[in-house]
Amino acid sequence: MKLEIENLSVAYDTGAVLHGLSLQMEEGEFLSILGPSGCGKTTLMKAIAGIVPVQGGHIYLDGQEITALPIHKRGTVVVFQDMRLFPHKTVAENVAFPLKMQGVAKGERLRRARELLQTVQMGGYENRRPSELSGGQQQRVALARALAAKPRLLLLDEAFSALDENLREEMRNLVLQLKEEFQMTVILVTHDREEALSMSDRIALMFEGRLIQCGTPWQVYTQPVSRQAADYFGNCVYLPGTVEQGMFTAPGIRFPTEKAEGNYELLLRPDCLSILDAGDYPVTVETISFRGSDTVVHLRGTDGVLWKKAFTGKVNLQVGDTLRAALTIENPVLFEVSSAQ
Amino acid sequence: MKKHPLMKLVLVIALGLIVLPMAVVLLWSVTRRWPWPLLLPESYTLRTVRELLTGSASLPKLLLSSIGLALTVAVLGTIIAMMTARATELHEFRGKTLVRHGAFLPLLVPGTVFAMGIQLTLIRLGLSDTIAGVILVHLIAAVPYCITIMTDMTAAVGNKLEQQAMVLGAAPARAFFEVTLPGLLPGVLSSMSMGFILSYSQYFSTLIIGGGRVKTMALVLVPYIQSGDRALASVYSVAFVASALLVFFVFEGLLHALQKRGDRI
Ligand SMILES: Nc1ncnc2c1ncn2[C@@H]1O[C@H](COP(=O)(O)OP(=O)(O)OP(=O)(O)O)[C@@H](O)[C@H]1O
Ligand SMILES: [Mg+2]
Repeated sequence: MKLEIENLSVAYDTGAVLHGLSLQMEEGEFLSILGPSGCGKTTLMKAIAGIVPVQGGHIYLDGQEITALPIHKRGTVVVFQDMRLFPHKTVAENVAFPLKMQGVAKGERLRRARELLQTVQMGGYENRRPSELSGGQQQRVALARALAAKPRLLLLDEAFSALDENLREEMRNLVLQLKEEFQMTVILVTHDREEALSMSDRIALMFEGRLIQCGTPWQVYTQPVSRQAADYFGNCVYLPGTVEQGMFTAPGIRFPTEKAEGNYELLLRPDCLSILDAGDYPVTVETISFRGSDTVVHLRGTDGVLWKKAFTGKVNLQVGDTLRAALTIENPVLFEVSSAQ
Repeated sequence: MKKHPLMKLVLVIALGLIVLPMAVVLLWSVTRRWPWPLLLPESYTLRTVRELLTGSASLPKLLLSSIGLALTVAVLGTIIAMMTARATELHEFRGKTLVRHGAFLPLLVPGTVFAMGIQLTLIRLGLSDTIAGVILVHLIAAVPYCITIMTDMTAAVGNKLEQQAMVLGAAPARAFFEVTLPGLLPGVLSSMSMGFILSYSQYFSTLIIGGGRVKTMALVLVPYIQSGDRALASVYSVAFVASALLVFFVFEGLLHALQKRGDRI
């Protein structure tokens, strides 16, 4: 299902939430929306599904405008953060609900519900009430129920947040597999950066009701459009420097660039720093903390920059050690520092 | 649940205020003579019961018309209250607070004054001395209470589940009946009980608007209380309370049955 959103604006009586947001999705695409709490992710899902009125803009599904279409005729299904299982129905009836609405006969719809429950590993829970399930089990039932509706577009609003890490991983794989099987277009709202980076075809970064960047996980992570976008993935280190005559210069670093002259900050992530090669960037070990699968070491550069680097295996370092590290920069990202700062 | 000492006190007070007077009324309804200062009646009689069952006012007919009228008011009042509550709780519109508070206006005016005032309007509308007119004035008395109950209930149930149902392909009305109504059911039954008892116990408004054509239990009962035949008044009171309790009992049973059925759909 191809989705196009043009200039979408949504406001509650508390104020505007989405400010002229645009987004395109191809059929069968998996898009993640990342953004801080309160930026309007749920509101965007609701606007696509038709639950909140839109103040401006257009939404198209497969070229057909659905902006004014009633909720139940859109074929977009949302799995909400709070699951919203029907408390007066059993698990099986919950999953069979969309089929009931389509007029599928009772025996047939309960059979399909059982199948879907097997798929989300909830077989045997058919006759339970939602209140008799754990949070994770409820999320799986909610997912099965959404799939029963055969959505043209599946919207998952933090659908994995109540699951523990192991189950999360399983459900992510399941969703990816079901997406192929059911040929669905999927939007996943999440706070979990790794989840977004690992699952999606594309990621949309949302801040304060606007998409500030949209691209492949690789693009969004390695070529952020602003410090805000870079910081959202964390682990960023900025080296201040200047561009003069087509060269960026910072302590220990110098490379050519096409940027205009001025003050810049160079974005670096821990993978740029190598302590195995003997380089010309001295660092001091500040703390070492063992975390099981890896060990995190805080290193302080001579320029005062603090690096946080994870190592696997045994770490032969002592607090206070000074090392000659090397900085390797493949795709430098420079952000201009405005003179006001 | 742990028993709170205060709970006991409340129970004792409730006992004193409801059960004791009821017991006295029950006793009075079969009393022939109860001179002061005896603790119990001196002699008993079934005269009152005979009068109740075979007397001038036919009991079955009276019960049927009173209960029928009160049930109509209960159902209509609850439907009106439900729609009002949904409008004010789930939708945004101008004048929302006006509607919410306006619904309570009939409570501010004393019932007698209200009944006489509205009679003029009903005469003009040709609804005076008719059952429709009586239903209308009873509704005015009952709806504010029904609205209070349904507003709280609607606010608690919300429309999230309904939205989810629509997202899953249910048309709006279907979504309401499938997922919202089961949640509202306890409120619907409370509101119907409230509407029922308010209509069942209306005296003055039934008298004025009904013009004697609409007969109810309350209408027959009150003159007996005023006449001073304590035993006869008591027996009618017992019949009044018992019939109302019976209806509540049925409501309660209905709620359980519906919830059970909802369990298996
Ligand atoms: N029904 C509502 N009425 C008024 N304001 C609302 C309503 N729902 C949300 N908002 C406001 O709109 C903004 C966006 O809310 P939204 O739920 O879309 O955020 P979100 O990105 O999903 O956040 P989270 O990650 O915490 O779920 C918030 O500032 C919120 O306070
Ligand atoms: Mg949200």
